[in-house]
Amino acid sequence: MFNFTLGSGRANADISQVFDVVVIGGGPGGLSAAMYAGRYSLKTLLIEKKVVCGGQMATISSIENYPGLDKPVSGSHLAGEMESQAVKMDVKILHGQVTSVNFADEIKELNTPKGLIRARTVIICTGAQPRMLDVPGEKEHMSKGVSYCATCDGHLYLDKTIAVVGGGNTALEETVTLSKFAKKIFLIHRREEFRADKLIRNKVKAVPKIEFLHNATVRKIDFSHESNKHILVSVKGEERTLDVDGIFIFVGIEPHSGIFGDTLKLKYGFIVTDEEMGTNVEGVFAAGDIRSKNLRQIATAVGDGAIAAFSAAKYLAD
Amino acid sequence: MLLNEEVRGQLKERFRDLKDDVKLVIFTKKDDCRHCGDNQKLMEEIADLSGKISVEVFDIQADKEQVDKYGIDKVPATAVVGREDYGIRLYGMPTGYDFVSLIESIHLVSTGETQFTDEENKYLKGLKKDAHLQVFVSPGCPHCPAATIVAHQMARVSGKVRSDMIDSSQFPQLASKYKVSGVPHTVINETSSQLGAVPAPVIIKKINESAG
Repeated sequence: MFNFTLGSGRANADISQVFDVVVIGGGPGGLSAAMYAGRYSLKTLLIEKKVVCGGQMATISSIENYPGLDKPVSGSHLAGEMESQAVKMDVKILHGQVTSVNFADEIKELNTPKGLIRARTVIICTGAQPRMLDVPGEKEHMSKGVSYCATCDGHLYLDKTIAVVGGGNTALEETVTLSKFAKKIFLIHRREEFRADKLIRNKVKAVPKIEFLHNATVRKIDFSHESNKHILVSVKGEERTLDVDGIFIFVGIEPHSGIFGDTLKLKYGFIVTDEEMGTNVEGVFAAGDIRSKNLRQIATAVGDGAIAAFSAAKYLAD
Repeated sequence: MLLNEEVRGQLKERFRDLKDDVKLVIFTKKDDCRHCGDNQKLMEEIADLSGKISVEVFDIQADKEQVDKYGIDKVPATAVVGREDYGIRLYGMPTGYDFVSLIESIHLVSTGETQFTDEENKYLKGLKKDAHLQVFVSPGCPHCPAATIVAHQMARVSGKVRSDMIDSSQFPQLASKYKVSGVPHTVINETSSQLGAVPAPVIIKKINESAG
C-alpha cells in the first residue's frame, strides 16, 4: 500500500583510494554501469549529485515499457531496486556534484566538494534535464504554476484546469497521470500527429477530460494574477487564451555535459561514443541519455551501462 | 508490517552509525486523521530496529501540555528529538521520498553531521531572531529530500531555527494557503518563500532579509 524509498543514504566510501571505475550520475544508465562493474569485481564508485539516485527516471509516475514488468511501477521504485542491486555488488555511492574533471593522464581526476576522486576509468552517465519551452513567463513562474514533474506536483492541481505541452511518450504518459487530479487538461502539441507510441496515444484519447490542441504552440505564460492565470496559445495560426491554473511541460531534454565540453567530442551537447561506449579519450566512456543517439529509454540506458562497464573492464585488463 | 524485510535490514545497517539517542515524539488524533495510525505504526517499526531509537505517543486533543511544548498544530506529526529538541518536525506520514528525509533526520539529530561551511555555521549560531522554515514536499518528488535536509540541518545547528517538513498531499489546505504550486517550496518566517532545492546560503540570505 505504501512505498518507502530508502536510497543509499550516507556514503561511507573511502575516496582516498584510486578506483577502477568511477560512474558519474545515478540514473538507470549509471546504476546499470556501476552494477555491472561491481559484478566484474572492479572497485567502483558512483557519484550522484542529488540526495537520491534515479535521475529523470525518478520523476516518472508509471513505467510500462521496461522489459520484465508485468505491472507498471513508479520510477522511484525501479530506481530503488536498481540501486540496491548495485550496492549488493559492493558499489560505493557518494552524493555530491562533480565540478570539474581532468582526463589528461592515465589516472583521471574528478573534483567534488567532498574531495578529489581518482579513477583508472570513468563512465559518464550525467543524463539530461527537461528542456524549457523558452517562452515569456516560463522562467518567472517556474514552480509557481510551471512544472516539469507530474509526480512531484500533480496533486497540487486537484480539480483544477491545466495545460500539458508535448507529444512524445513522456508527455502523453504524464497527461494520463495528471488526469487523475485535474478536472480538465488542454494537451498542446505543435504537430498534427503525436510522436508517442500508438498504445499511449490510444490511452490518452480515451480520457474525456482532455482537449487536444494540435498544430499549437504556447506563446506566453501569465500567472501573475491569482484571479486571471492564463496562457496564450497559437492554434493553427489563430491566437487563443486558455485560462489554466498550471502548465506541465514535456518537450524533450537538455544534456548535462557542460564540464566535458573542452575534453570530449560532443554533438548538440551530447557525448559522441563508438559502439562500445568509448569516447574520444581512452578510459572514458559514456552511457544513457548523455550519449548522442536516437532512442533514449530506460531500456537503452541500462544497455549502454552494461556495455560501458564491459568496455571499462576490458580497458583495465589490456 | 509496513516495512518489508529488505528495508528493515538496510535500516538496521544504517542505524549502526547513530551516536546520541533519538526520540520520535508522535502526535495523533483518535478520529478524523487518515494516516495517524499508520504513522505511529511506522515509527514504532523504525524504533524496533535500533536500541538508540524510542517512540513517545501523544494525542493532539488530550495531551495539551505536550502539544504546547512541541508546538504541534496538525496531525500526523513527528518531532525528531535528540539530546535536546532541535525543532525538527515532520507533518504527514513520511512515504516515498519523504521517507528518505525521515531517515536522514534521525541521523542528523543523532550525529549532528552537516555539510555547512564554518561561515554558515557561524551565521546560524549567531542568529538573534527566530526563523521558522516550512518545507512543502511530496512523496513522489526526488528533489524534495535535499530541501528538507538543508532546512533540518539549519535547525540542528541553530536553536533559533525551527524546521517543518510538510507533505503537501496530506495537507492540501495548508499548501493552498501558502500558494504552493510546485515542490519543494520553503516558506520562511511566513513572509518569504524559496522554490526548489537550494543550498543553505540562499535560505540564510532570506532569513537575514526577513529578520530585517
